[in-house]
Amino acid sequence: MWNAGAVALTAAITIIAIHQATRWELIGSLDELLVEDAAEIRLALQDLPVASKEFQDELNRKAIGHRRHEWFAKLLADDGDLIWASVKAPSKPLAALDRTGDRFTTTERFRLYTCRVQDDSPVRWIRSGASMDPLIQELHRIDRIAFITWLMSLGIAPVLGWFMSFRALSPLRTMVHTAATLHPGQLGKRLPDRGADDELDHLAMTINSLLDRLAADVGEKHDFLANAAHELRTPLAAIRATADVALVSNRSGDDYRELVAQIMEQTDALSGIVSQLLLLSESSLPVRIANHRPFSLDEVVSKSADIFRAVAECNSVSLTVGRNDPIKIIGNRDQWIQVLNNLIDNAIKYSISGGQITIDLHRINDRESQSRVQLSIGDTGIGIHDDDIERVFDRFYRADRSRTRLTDVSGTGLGLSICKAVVEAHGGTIRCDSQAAEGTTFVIQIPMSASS
Amino acid sequence: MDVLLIEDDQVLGKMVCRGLQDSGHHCQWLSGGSDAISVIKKGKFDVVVLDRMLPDVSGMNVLSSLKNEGVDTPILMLTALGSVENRIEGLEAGADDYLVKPFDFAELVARLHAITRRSRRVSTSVFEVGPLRMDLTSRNVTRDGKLIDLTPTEFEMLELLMRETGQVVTRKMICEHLWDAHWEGVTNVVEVHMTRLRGKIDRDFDFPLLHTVRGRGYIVEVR
Repeated sequence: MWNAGAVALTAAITIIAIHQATRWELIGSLDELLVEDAAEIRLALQDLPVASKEFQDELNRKAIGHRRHEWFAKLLADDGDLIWASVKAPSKPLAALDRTGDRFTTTERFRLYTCRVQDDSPVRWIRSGASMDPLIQELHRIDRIAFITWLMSLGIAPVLGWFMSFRALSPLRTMVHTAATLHPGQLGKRLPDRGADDELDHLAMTINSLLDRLAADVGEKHDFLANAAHELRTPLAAIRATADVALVSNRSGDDYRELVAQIMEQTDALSGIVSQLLLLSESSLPVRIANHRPFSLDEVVSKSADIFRAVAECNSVSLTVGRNDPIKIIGNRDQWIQVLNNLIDNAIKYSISGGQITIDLHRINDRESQSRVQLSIGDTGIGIHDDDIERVFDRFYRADRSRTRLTDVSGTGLGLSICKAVVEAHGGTIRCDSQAAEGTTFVIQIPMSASS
Repeated sequence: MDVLLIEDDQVLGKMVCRGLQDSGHHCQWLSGGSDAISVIKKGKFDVVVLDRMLPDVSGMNVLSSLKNEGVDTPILMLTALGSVENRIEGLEAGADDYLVKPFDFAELVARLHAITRRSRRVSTSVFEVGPLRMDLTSRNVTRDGKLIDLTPTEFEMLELLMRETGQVVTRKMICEHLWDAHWEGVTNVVEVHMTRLRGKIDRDFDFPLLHTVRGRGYIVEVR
């Protein structure tokens, strides 16, 4: 509707412009003719007297020749009295004589040009004139054509507009259709690339890449759920088997106590997995940040180091804290305790006798980037193979245990993914630098904005 | 201890009640919250164990109406919701402690002891278990008068065990005590420190005081 209105308005403006330009053009050529004729008469007057037959015949012929325009010429005295007029000249004076100079006048029907005969005494004026009727008729004809064109454009514009928008929107319809058929279980479909490299193609590509990410995330969640269920099944099976054994025959009180104690231990393992899963899902929720509170990260570092030092010593591994700058950060203290403990625990597990573990906490000030807090936990343990480094933060991923020399390395395989989730929930990054047989260092960096 | 248990789960309610009676306490069990207030006002209870999710009234509602009525019986909330916010919410509503399911029975008893003690405002600076003596002010530990040198971690662990003398202390309780955090990552950390602690307080003496309760935790007592 708006579109049709705009087209009609534009067309109307164009038509008025054409009308005015044509009128101007036609009057201009008529004026040229009148001036030319007046000049001719003025020249003739120098050679021939008004009364001469040649002069009168010449002008009358011209008047007959320009009949259609009702052309005429008059010779006027300075007081306005008619001296002579060509045939069919209108008898009325049409317009008063203006003695200030040569000029054009437009009357009701006529266009007049009046000029003074040069070096004449007494003063005389030549007036050439022509009817405006043919000109107006011509203009009317043009106006009619223009009006018809305008009416046609009014009819055609909406149809054409609808057709064009229909064509332009057809990729959008495809998008809507494809989007409507997508659901979380089936994210395989993608929008077509028309190869036009226009905005719609860019939109389609953006939506496709969003779908890629969603599909990857949904797939990851699906795998996670399957893995989680699998991990829960193992301690459950153990609990059931133990209870089965307890019930199958009569036993002594001590035997029962022993079996029930085993069930308790397995329940603890199950409970541990459940709370880690909860922590993992909690830490990835942005709303949790609302509950962040300031606490001393260095205090957590020294506490965990103190507590784990005895464990390290049991494994003939030394645990030292290098720099431990006083640093307060805003966050979830419980989660950071878990991060530190997971990393220290890992470092001890994958260390060999005589190894060293070093913890370091300090601020780093880069010129380019904002200040950050860096926490690193390095060991001189067995290291991680290059092809495993990428995947150490994956949920339930454990570096192939057949390659490690330790057989008692246990855990849920969630520790490092919890670390990653917690660090990222605090706006930070965690990376793993490792060299097989030389050691591993986990480096955490969090922005100072999360600290004070 | 006279305990009022408000818990709708039949198995859990029955077991907790039985466990408390077995360990010499008196336990009354309600499976709904609607008449909780009148029961509490009528009876003389030392402590109330309140489940957060009840079929009739929410545990939080029971808690707030108890506080509005001016009931000062200590209350321990039980819940399956273990997030930090839920704990904070419960504690801010006036609960004296908060325990997340699944829990160790020993931990429940220990916490009940702790909050009834807290409400009686009994504070002590010296603990004694047989020949073992711990002075919290001077931070000295002696057995048979002989000074025992403990690391800060060992001292804190022994302090928790001696506070709960005669009660089982679980690994989880020790972990939370050491880090002062809700942390359920059970590792071999506790075992390592316990072995060392045992070496210091028991090895060179006639009889052991620190005992391992298989599948449950540790206990300090004269047997």
